[in-house]
Amino acid sequence: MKHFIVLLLFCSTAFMAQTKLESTLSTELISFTLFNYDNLIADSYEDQSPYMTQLAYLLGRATQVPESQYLAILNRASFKTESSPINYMMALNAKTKELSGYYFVDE
Amino acid sequence: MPKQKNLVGIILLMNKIRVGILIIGVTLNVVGSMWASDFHTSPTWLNALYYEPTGSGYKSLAESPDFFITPTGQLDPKGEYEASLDLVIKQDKGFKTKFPYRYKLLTTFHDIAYHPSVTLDEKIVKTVIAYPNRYMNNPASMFGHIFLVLETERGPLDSDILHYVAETNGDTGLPYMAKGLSGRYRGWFYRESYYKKIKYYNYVEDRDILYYDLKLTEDEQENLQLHHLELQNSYFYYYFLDKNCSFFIAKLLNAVMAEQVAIKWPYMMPSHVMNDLIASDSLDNERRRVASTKLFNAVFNTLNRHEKQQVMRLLTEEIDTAPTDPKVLKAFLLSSEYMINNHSPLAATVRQNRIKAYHALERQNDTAVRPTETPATRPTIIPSKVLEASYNGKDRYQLEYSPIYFSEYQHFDKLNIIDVKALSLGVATGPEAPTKYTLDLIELTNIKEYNVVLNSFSWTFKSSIAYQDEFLFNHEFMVGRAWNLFNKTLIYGLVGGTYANYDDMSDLHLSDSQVLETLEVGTLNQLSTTLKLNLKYSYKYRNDFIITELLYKPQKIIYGLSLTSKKDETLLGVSFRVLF
Repeated sequence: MKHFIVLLLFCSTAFMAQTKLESTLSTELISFTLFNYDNLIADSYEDQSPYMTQLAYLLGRATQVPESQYLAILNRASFKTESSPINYMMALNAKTKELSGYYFVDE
Repeated sequence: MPKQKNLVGIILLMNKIRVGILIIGVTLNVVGSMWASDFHTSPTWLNALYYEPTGSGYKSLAESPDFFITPTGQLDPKGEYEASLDLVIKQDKGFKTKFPYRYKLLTTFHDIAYHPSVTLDEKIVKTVIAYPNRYMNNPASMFGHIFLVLETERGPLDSDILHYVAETNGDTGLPYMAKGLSGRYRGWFYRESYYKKIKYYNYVEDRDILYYDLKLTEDEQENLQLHHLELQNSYFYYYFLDKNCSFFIAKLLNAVMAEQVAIKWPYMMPSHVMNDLIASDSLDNERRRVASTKLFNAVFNTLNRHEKQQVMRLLTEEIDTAPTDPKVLKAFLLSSEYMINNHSPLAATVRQNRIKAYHALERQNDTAVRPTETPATRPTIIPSKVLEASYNGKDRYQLEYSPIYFSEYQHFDKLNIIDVKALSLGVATGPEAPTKYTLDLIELTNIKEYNVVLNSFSWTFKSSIAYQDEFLFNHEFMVGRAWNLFNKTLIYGLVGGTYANYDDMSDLHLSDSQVLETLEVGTLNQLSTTLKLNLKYSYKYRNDFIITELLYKPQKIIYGLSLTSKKDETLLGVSFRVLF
C-alpha cells in the first residue's frame, strides 16, 4: 500500500510537471508577457509595478500558486536583466513549471 | 375509490382552468399594454435597435440580418417588436441569449418575469471613457478618437476596451478618403484587451489621452454589458463625417443610459460626445496621460550637445557602461519604447541599453520615468470651435466662425502648433473694397519640433474659397522643419507652393490663377504661460511680408496685436479669438 501511494504521488507529480495550461490561459499569458515585456522590465525598476502585478495575478489564477511567489520571481535579477522578450517569456515559463507543474508554452 | 378518482379529476381540471385563466390574463395584459403603449416607437426601442427616422418610416443602421428576428426587421420596428415580445412571453432561450438587452427591456416594460440566460461579468465595476487626442498622420484621427474601458476591480490592465472601428482593408490616401466619405467601409463594435490597444496609442502613435469615469447606475452598467452582446450580431456602415466612432459610441450610450448624448449633423466628433457628457454631469474624475515623446522633448531640449549625443548613442549602439547623468538616462528611457515600436531594427540595442540605464538610475535611487496620469480638479469642456473678430489696419474688418477647431492654443504654454480648422465661414468688409465672403474648407498646421531622435517634420495645408465680385480660391501647402530652443522658442522654416487667384495676405485679386512658390521662416516665443510673441518672414505672392504678432490668453479669449510690413506700408491689426 505504502509503495502504491509513493508511486501514485510520483506519477501525479510527473503528470503535473508536464501539464500545459489550457489554450485560453496559455494564450493570455503569452500575449500579456510579450506585449508588455518593456513595461514589465520598467516595472521591475520603478516604484509602480502594475504590469508585473497583473502578470502575477494571471499566473496565480492559472496555476493556483500565490501571486506573491510570482512577483518574487519577476523581481529577481535574472528577469530584470533579460533583454529579449522571448527569452523573458521562456524563462518565466520554466519558472512557472518549476513552481506549479504547469507551463504555458512548449519549449 | 371512484369518488377519490373524481375528486382528483376535479382538482386537476380546476388547476388547468386556473393556469388557462392565468395565461389568458398575462396575454391580455401584454397585448393591452402593447396597443396602449406604442413601445415600438419609444426612444428606448428605437435606440436599442439603432432605428433612424427616414421620413416615411424607420431604418436601422444595423446592416446584418442577424441583428433582427424578422426578415423585415431593419425597416419595421413594430413587426420586430411584436415578434420579439412573442418570444419573450414564451421565454425563448435562443432570443434571451442572442438579444439579452431587448429581453430585459421587454420584460421590464411589460412586467413579465425576468429570467436571463446570459451571465454578466461581475468583475466589471465601472466604465471609463477615453479620448485620445488628434493624430496628424492619419486624416481619420485628426479629430481624436473615443472608446470605452470596461474596467474591472483590478484596474485597466485587467480590462477590455469597447470601441467602434471601421475595416479599411489597409487603404490610404485618396481611396481611403473617398470610401470613408461615401460609406464604403463596414464598422463593428469591437472589444479587445486594454493593454493591447493602449500600447498602440502610448508607444506607436504616442498621443495624449484624456480619461473620465462615466457615471453609470448599476442598471445602466448592466445594460451596457447586455447590449454589447447584441452588437456582436451586426456591422454598421462607417461614414467619415457623421457615422464614425463618436457617432456610434454616442448611439451605444443612448441605448443604455437615461441621459442622452445629442447626435450632431452634418458631422460628429469625439469632442461633441465628451462635451455633451460633461455638460450633463455624466463624467467624473478627469485625468490626462501625456505622451511620453512630449516628456522626452521637454527633457531633451534642456540637454547640451554632448548630452544629446549620449542619448543618441544609447538609442543606436550597444554600450558597455551607461552614462550617469539622470537627465540623459531619462531622456533615453522616455523615448525608448517609441523607438522600439517605430524602429524595430534598433529594438534589440535599445532594450539592452534600457536595462543598463535603469541600473544606473537605480544606483541613484531615481527610477521614476514613465508618464503618470495627471488628475484634474473637475472635467472641463474641450474647446472645439472658435469665433474670431479682427481688424487688419486698412479699414477692413473680418468676422470668422470655425465650427471645427482644435488647437494647441488650448494649452497656451505649448510651443508646437498643431491646429485643425475646418469649414470656417467668414465675412470681411470695409469702405475700401467690396465685401468678401470666405469658406476655409480646411486649414491644417502641424509645426512640430524636430530633433535627431524623433525626426519629426512640419507641414501646413490650407484650402479655401471666397466670393468677392467673382469666385476666388486659394490652396497652399508647405513643408519644413522646426527646432526648439530650451523650451522657450521654436524656430521654423517652411517651403511650398500656392495655387490661387487671390492674395489672402494683401486681400487682392491676382491677374489669373497662378502656381506660386512660398517660403516662411519664423520664431514662436513663449514669454510667459499666457503670452506669446511670434515673428515671421513670409515670401508669398511674390511679395515679402514681415509679421510681428503678440498673443495674450488669460482665459478663453486670445487677444492678438500684429504688425504686418509689406514694401512701404506697415499695418497694425488687432484680433480677438474666443475658443468654446
